[in-house]
Amino acid sequence: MPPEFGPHQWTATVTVIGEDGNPIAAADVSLQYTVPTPAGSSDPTFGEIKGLTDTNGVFSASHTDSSPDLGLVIDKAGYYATHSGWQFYFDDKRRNPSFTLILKKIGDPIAMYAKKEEIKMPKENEPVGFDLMIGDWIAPYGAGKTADVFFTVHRKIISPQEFDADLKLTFPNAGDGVAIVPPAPDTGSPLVMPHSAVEAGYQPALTWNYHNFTETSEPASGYFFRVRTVLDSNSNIQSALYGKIQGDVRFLVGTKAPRAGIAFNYYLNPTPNSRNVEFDPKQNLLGNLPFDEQVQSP
Amino acid sequence: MLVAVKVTIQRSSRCRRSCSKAGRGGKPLEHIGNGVFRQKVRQGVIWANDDQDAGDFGGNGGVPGLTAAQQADGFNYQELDYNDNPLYRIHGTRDLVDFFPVYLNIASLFQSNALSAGISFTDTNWQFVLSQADGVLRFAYTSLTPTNYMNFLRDTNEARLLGGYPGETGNYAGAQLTTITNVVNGGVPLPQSFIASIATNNQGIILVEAAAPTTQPLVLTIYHGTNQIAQTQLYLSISGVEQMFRSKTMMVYPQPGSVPDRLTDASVPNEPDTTENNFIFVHGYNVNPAQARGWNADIYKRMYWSGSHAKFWGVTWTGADSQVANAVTINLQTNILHAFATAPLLNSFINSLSGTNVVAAHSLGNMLVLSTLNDCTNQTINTYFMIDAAVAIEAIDPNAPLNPDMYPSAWTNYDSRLWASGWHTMFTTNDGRSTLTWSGRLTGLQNASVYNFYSSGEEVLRDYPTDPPSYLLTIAYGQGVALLQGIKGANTWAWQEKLKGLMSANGLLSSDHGGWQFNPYYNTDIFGDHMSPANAELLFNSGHLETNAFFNWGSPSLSLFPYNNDLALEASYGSSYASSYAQNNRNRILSDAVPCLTLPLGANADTNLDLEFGGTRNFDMQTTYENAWPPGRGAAKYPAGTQAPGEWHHSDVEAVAYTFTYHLFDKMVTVGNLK
Repeated sequence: MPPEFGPHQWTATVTVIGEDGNPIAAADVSLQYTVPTPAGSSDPTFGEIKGLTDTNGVFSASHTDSSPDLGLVIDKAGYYATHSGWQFYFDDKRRNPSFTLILKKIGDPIAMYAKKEEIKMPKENEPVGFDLMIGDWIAPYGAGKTADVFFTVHRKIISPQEFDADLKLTFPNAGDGVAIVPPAPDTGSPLVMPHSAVEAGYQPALTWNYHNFTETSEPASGYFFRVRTVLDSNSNIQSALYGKIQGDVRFLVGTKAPRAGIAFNYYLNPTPNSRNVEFDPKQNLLGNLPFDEQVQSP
Repeated sequence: MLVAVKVTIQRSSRCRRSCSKAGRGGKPLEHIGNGVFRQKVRQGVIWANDDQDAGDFGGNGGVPGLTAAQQADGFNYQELDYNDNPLYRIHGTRDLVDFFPVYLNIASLFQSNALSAGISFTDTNWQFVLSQADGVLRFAYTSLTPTNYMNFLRDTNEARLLGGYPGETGNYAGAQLTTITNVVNGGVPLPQSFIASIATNNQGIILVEAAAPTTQPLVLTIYHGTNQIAQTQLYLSISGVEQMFRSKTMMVYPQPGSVPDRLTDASVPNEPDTTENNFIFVHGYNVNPAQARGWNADIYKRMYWSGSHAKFWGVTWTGADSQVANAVTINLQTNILHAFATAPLLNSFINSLSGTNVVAAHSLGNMLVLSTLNDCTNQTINTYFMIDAAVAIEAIDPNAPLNPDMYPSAWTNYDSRLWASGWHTMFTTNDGRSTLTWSGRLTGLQNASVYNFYSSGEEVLRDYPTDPPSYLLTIAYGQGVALLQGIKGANTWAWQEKLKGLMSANGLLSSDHGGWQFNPYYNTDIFGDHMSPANAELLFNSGHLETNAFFNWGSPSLSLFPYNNDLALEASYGSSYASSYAQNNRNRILSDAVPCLTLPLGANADTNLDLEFGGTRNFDMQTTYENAWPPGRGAAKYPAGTQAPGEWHHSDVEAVAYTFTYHLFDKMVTVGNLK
């Protein structure tokens, strides 16, 4: 084996912190490296070094092998396991990586209406209501009963290469709205967004636009939304439901298709005024959805 | 006494033709109430377990047709029982697709109502005996029921219980199997504990394998004392799996291991009921004809268990030219050429089929299918599944953003029009040289509804953002083979693109001409220092780049086996000749001298596909379709932060047991309307 690909020593240093930035001691760390293919085997297997973080939240380990990469799994009771990885790229300068990983607490996972939604727009140039508790367009386009949100699509397609299209999200009630969650670095935690939706900062409409293949929407790691809002006489929120859209709302223009589509993963908390958006995947209020429509992350 | 007994195969099907065959015997009996039985048409049409599986992703790659002496799974044992007889087991979760669940529907015998026998399951005078005339069936007891019987394949806990733990021995290695002997040898009396589970928990599912082809039925006989009270039979039609699906071989040159075409009904005598849909599977790179038998058989089995009733066609083509030791194919470029050369053959074949065509291709097989669509303008592919496609995104999508990770560091500061990938921009569209780009090379998708099943955990098609290891530049043949074998192809797609023009020879990993090789003409000194990017920019004013490119179409002067034919592209030979040369050699030049500037589809989404079709057409198999993952692979490492249970590697669609991958096959069956 040439030197670049032969055994090398690596040293990995892992620092585990909580969402507050403080170190987490006694977290389980698993460092996994690839073991070269054994004779007669069809695929490599892996070796593993395990340990606990110290009071500074640090765990360090060394090993000599010819693994091209490292895998990390950090876990602790009461927290979501965090994953990460590292490629050596056969480069001596990358042999001693340091990681700072965030363990997010398991807070209060709740039953929610949660769905990986992908649906065709039944109409263009007019708002169409979508019922988040049913997971469908409202009648006559679907089985939905209450419009939680409206989607409006405009398309001008000259050719598959030349088009203009926009998707607008609006709401039926005063006080309803959507709040953009800005992009954040991947922490490796399955809890991608905050435990709770924001209290304020909801805007009544949001538009995604494509000019040819260029999208002009504001970058986001997700969205919080507030629906079914009831205001009191002073325009204060008396009652509202909160939820989140994890990841982007994908506007599937359909430059060769008769209809546009939209796709988004949403979670709706059914309890009025509760901003908790941490989902328990075992308690989906939409019941047993087909595999393709199930969301697994909290 | 009313006796209601029935033995049914789950996912039963008719054998389209063989039911009428002489010697097949009658049809199984079905109890329809009040002790009345009727002839039942459905029978067990399944394959013999004659490949070799191991653990969650090991074995012989699914190649069927092994004999007992070759340790076919149905005959392979590692232990002896207390009587020194062979002790057979299930060979890992990967082996489970070769078993079929059989329901011993006798629970009603133990019920106390007017229509039932009211037998006490504790009454040991009653015997329930399985037998089979030629003794080639073996089975495992399960605790499955008629409502969850597919858990033997779909529930990782159940599959682990039955398939065992990789590397373990004894009972942890896989469930024990019982051989069903014939009546003369007494058959197999079902133990009282299993009868009790049928009576009290509505169980009664056994998992059966056939060690060899057979048409002898599985017989359940019920005795009270020595009196035979009832008997029922499950008629079987078990053959080698290749008797159940069709095959088309289209090699560009003869290679050992190629199988004869199986195109007609007569050539697939055990093909189950099929619809008018065709499912055509095209294997990928580094798959020789013998290995293609394994790929085709494995994908067929998986589609079968996901409920496909389409006619399955396995295509074998020349994708392993330069393969060494049946393990590693060292020259991708020549196999790319074979893919292009095979496209007209695939086109003719697909056009010859009646019905709706759904095509799935793996890895470099996608170059073949895309060329069939684009270059042959095939109009008869209705749905097309790209799986781990070893094709750059830009080939189907010229609007895809270029990826700086594909640029070697030495070239990043130079105007991209100076690169081999940008040279085509210097020519008008009526000059063949204007076509020397991967961008838009395969955009013609015709009528096909296209889906991209990629894996963010790819190792072969993985992004490699830095320069390839310098060691590769001068690698010798033996070292190269050993290396490629050792790393199992990891990173090699990006390497071969970024090493185009930089190797010391052709034929191993990449090439020594074109690509990223600087043209020494523009060096500033005899030591090989290159012209600065700023000065190189001025060359656009000279008008000479068409006739003397900034990169080198030829091999380095010190090359032992220089390849300088492509210098013909430079107009010193006359532009008309150069244009023709480009047209005639386009695919070869693209494969070995023009780098791609985008990552491969097999590891990345092409979101413009979603835009085009108005729906999600990119599915990350790693994050979407894993049903847990073999623990022997470790945690998912790539990309960092992935939440997937494990890394879905380049060939895992075939290598990893169906238990872990079945969601993908379900998706293809659903989307392709293949039920």
